[in-house]
Amino acid sequence: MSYDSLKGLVPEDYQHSGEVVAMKVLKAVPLMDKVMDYYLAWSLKLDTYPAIFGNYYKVTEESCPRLYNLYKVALKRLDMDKEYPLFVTLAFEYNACAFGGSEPFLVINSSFLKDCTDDELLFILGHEIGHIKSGHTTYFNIARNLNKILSGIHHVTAVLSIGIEYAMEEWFRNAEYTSDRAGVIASGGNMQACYSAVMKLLGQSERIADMDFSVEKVLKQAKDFEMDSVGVIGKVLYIGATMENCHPWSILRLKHIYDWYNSGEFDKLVGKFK
Amino acid sequence: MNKYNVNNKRIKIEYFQHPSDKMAVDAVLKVPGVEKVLEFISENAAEKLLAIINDASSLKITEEINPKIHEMIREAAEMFCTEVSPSVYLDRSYFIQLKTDGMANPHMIFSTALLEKVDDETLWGVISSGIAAFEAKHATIKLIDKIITYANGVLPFTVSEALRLAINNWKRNREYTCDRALLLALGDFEKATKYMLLGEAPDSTLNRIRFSDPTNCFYDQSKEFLERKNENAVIQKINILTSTNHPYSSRYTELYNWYISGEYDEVLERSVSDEL
Repeated sequence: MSYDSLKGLVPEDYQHSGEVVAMKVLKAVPLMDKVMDYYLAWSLKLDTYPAIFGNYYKVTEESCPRLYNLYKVALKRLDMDKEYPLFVTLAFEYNACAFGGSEPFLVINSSFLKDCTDDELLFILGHEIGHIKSGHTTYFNIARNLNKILSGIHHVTAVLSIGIEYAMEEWFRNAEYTSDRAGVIASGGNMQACYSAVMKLLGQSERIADMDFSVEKVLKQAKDFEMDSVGVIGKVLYIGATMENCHPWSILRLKHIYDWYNSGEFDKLVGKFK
Repeated sequence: MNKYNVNNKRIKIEYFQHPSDKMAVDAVLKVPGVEKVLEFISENAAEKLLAIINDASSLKITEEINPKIHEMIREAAEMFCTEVSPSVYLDRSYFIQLKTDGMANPHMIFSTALLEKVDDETLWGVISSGIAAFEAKHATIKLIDKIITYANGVLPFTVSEALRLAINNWKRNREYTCDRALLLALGDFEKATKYMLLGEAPDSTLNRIRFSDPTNCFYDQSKEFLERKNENAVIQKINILTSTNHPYSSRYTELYNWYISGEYDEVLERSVSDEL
């Protein structure tokens, strides 16, 4: 099912159920988004923008045509009118991020450019654009700052804030699933590319000889992994181990993308805009 | 016929385990009931968590995905007279390393950099050193290390720091055991030392140095390091124990001295050689 753009696409069309409540609660706080946008605009201008513009490589049609053209495709498929500044930074780790309030920007690590195909890059760019489209760049900051204020008020609320912290991080992890879905949309539903992009995060490398990591074999590992099978102790340990993770474990991401696509949701979504 | 263990060696851990490593592990296991308690914690908490983390965040290298690695593991286990059969994972990292852990459910985690960088012969040596770590029961003290980390806020600062230094001291000594296992599997001092220093110097430099020759430049550097260490023994010991890495000079010197002392040859002689 090919498409150039899903005209009229809104984040709620593909939002992961695990972040619906958190987003509703935060959006209901009056003026909070305005205050945070104002604060972010001020603080970013003060230190982040100079550091980014001074050290990172800005992607334009002239400076990096391959990435720039892919970026345009991803923006269009996700029906984003505005083009946000995109930068490349030199790093070994596979990572990318979207940051900022109402004036967000994206950063992608050079390792992705070196090792990923164009289709895989569409998934990665789409994932980051998805964070902006969903407003995560603003609302993540609101949640983090609210929790900081809460934990500073009193010891009792500090204890309470541990619970809030966990709920917040769980929301962040679910928000990653939402953005992965945006990545799938940006890739045009090229699932092989989406799976192999996530597999790269797990360590799949063309430079390792004799390692037959086909998508099917890794998907089997993803499908075999069931939180239900780890029992109560396992679940408690999971909470402790993931307490501070803002990203879900990659096998779980693979599983969520697989489940979402195969549930028919993606086809239904694209069909809605045809 | 074995493909990687070409001389069909059979080497028991007690033939070559570094005495300080052995002493630490034995001391822990001598405490009545401690092995049972550690096994219980390991099986019901620590390894359960590790299994979840590995299955959910690393690529599992099954026999189907890479039969060669599994064959090397089987041969290494046979060589070190153990039946350990670890689960195998791949983790993206630029550190050239193989991590091993687990008592009830042993597992090995290869870094991408390791598999990208080493040839099959070296990989065989590295896997063998990992298997030796299981046989030397390193997982017992690793588990104690984890418990101390979790109990950090509960134990008095001086106690937890003293325990941490003691464990770091053991960590240095356990590496000596694994370096010996690497050398025994490879049967080549040059190759074993080059792996130890891989990533620390360009390949061209490492290929140029004859590490078994006492006039080589790294031998001189190591000698100088040890002399400086002896000048301020206490401070240097603390420096080594609190740093994240074990100085390569120490590891090289220890392995070199063991190699030329005749102990290495003795171990090989003791190993039973099956007719091909």
